Amino acid sequence: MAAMFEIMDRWRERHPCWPALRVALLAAVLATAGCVVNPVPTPGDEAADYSKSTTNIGGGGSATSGADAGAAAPPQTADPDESANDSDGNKAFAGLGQAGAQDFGLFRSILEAGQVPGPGTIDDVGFFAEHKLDYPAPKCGQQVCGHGLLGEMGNLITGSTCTLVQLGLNTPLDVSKLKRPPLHAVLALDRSLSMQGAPLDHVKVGVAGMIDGLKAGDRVSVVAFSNQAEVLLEAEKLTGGGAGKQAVQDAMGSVIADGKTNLYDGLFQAYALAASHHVKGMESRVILLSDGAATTGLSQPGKLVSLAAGWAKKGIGITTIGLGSAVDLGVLRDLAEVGGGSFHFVDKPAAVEEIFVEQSKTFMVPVALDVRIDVEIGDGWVVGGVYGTNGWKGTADAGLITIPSLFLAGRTDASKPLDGPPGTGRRGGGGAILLELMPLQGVVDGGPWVTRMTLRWVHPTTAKEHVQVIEVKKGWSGQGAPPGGWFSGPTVEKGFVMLNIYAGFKLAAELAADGDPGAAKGVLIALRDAVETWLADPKHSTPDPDIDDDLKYVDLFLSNLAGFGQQTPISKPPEPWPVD
Amino acid sequence: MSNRCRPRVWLVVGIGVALSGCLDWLPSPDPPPSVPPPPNRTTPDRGTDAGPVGADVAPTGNRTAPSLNPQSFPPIQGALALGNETGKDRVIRIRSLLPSVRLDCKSVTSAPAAMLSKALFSGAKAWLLPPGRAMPIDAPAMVGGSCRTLLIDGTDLPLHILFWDASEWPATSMPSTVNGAAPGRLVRLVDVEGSIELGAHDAVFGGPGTIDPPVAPACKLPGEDAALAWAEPAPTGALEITSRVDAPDGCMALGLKTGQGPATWYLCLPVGSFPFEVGDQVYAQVLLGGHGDGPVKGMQWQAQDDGRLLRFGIGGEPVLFDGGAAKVERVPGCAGQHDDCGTLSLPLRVVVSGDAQADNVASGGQLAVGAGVVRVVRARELPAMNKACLAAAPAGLIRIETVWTVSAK
Repeated sequence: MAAMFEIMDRWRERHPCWPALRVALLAAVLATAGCVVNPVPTPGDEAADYSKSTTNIGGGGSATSGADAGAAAPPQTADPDESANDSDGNKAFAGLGQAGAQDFGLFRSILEAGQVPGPGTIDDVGFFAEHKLDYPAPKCGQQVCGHGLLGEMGNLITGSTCTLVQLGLNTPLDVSKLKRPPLHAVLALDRSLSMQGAPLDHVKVGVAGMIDGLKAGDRVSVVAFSNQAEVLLEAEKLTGGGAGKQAVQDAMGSVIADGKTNLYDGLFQAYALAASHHVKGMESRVILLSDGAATTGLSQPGKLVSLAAGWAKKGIGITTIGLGSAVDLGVLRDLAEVGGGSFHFVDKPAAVEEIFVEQSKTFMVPVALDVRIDVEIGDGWVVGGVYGTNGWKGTADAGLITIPSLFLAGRTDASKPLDGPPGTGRRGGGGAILLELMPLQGVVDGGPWVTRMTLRWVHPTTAKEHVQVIEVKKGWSGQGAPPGGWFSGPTVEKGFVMLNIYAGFKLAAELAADGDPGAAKGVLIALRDAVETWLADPKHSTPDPDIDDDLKYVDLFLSNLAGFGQQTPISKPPEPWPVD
Repeated sequence: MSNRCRPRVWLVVGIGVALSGCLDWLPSPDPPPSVPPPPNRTTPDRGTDAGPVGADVAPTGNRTAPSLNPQSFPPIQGALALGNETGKDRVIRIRSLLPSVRLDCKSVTSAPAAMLSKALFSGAKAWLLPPGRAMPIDAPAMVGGSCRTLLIDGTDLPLHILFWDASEWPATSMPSTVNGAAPGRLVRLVDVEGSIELGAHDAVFGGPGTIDPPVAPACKLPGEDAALAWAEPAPTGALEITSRVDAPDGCMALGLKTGQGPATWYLCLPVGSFPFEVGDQVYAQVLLGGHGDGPVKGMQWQAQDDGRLLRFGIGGEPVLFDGGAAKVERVPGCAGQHDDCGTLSLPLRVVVSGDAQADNVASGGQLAVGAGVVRVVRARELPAMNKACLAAAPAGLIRIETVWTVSAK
């Protein structure tokens, strides 16, 4: 680390605004779709239909050069024109969601309740997942395509220069034509006393909606747990006649809230049940629904997480759904991350249906496994921070992002309004991974690229590894971006705004928790003004419902701070990333 | 803030020190709904703690703090005083240790910034400190040690640790002004060319980092996934094992016939250390004591019809085993590892003295001793411990997780 500090010191000498100057290596918006019948036919596109485990759709029997392990495709220069989507006259390309948090529902629900959220109630992975970022058309010839984007501008809180690299992933697969293998969904349902009333009612409604989204041949099990776990329904097969669905409804109807929370017992029995019925060609998934932390039994969170990790390696994933503000957010998030699944927080009744519809549509079956993104930083730059993933390990000039699994994200168009029918909320945006970069003093044009990323992923059914190399190049000459900033396109600009809003929320929550609501207000006021200006800029011809909605929560946060304890003076905002 | 000179009660962070003052006071808001914040991945690594830090440079910036007459303001009670010499009102945030934290003062004194983590401290309380004034610094007493610590920062002041010995700086009455401060007890808030800093003082250390330096392979401790664990309450008395289901992570669900009826019980042990089979009848009892005088919490299962035995426990000593003596010692050359809750773990090893020679068993290791095998699941010392995130076990700062298995019938 001494070398790192030396580098930073050199950089600091040149940049008086050092504390905030960052390049954010931005978003790997993961957009892949695995389970689609008819993707854009590209040579070598492999097994878009998971029900035919080795069949290539629209292509030959082998992948194109570059699709096999060890034979990387020629590097693709990062999207010289992000509007490539438009060239197809079709922006409906789905993003890919990572395992882990899929929303910032708890943070939202606290604000909507008139309270001030704590800093631990929001995380970057979940926040980004509620933002749809439209990437260039996925023309890489594979079902997972990576895109490297670049942007540099003053940050929206203090104005210090911020440089981002965004890695986005999307897919040619068509969500609407998704075809997946038979599914065995094992519901692990918390029926402890605290679930009484609305939480349990919401779950019953949600499960009914999810069952409607399943198909004949799928199986459903129900394990309910309080002081101990009990199997209420074992691998009930759904039929066209609806008999299976009725059995699920009956099992759910018999659930009564009572007792403590033996989370480990519930999870263990659910996994054991899934394993006992697991057959080749079937997707088995545990869906855990809980409103709290373990209060009896084996309660070490580490053991819950290791249980999920162990079963994920054997092909059984988990989806976690949290209800109520007492939920153990960290554990449910960790379970989803290591267990190859998603975590959702149910913040309101409407979200139940949104989540379950999303689940039944996309998140049940992974599209890519063992995703590894090797990141090399070009001469003249160092990494300042990485957001949108918990899988980063690295140094100042290189690193590796690991993602256990990718899922198809349900939303396909960033400009689509959010208030459509059930299942059309903000969830399913696909998320993003952002890296911040910092320039080194005295190196103006250090190399041919700013960042080079090698994307590797394994196909879930063929186990074949695919490779794509993505190079991100600077779009300006000299050391700093042109006045007013520079973006390789509108998608990275949205990624930049999204990161700034996340940083502002996080910083404001930390300051409020530290008894300094005045400083928190300073952050949010500065952020609000900048975001509003950004939204009003005529060059953004397309409305952005996500950022618009974010702004609503900035306002709500400010409003809630007005009544928050003794007020400190409103002060100029500190740097959003004070550790730089 | 208005009403600057109206006497108010000044509550200092978790201390309960109350005094009249002519300062604006800013009690913190109600705690927000929150979960413990995750570690910040982007912070630099932990400092090396060469010793106390602080600004050695004489303040050259806005040093326009008024020279106030100490007699005009009521005194304050504290171990130290923080005085504002910057010439402007300053918001100061102070965090005290969480009630669930215990420190080994002797160990932490050697390197507070490297050994203490921000996660060990509570949410801050904010104070507005006018120029020329001083506020009291004190911290709650801790069980088993005379050291005291606080985490301090401000809007323009980076995080610092204050760490001192209460026996050296017992609480006393002091002026609430910079002017006339008690000798040696004033920590100065200064403006050094526009940068707000704390002046040099033996109690002032740099802020805690959040990223540990790389750990040498020989120093690595197994994670929570490998920990010895069992469900509570644990069944006792005569039991029959009726079923066993293994999970991929080494934990097992045991179906048991007990005196109170059938039950399912969960146990997580190292691979190969469970000597029983379905159909076996065992006698289970709570473990009392370990291989020494330290407290141990654990269980013993003994076959009712042969010599098979399973003994496992967590505590300050290895569980008792036959055929040798045991003691624990630090693994040389190893720094610590922090967990998300701020607990610092230093690796230990178990030294087993048999008939002939002594053998060292580190975490994850095992050794055949006498008729059985002793397995050291994890052995660690916790000089900074947050009990809130640790599984129930005796409260000592040494935690040895061991299993003794006799498999022969």
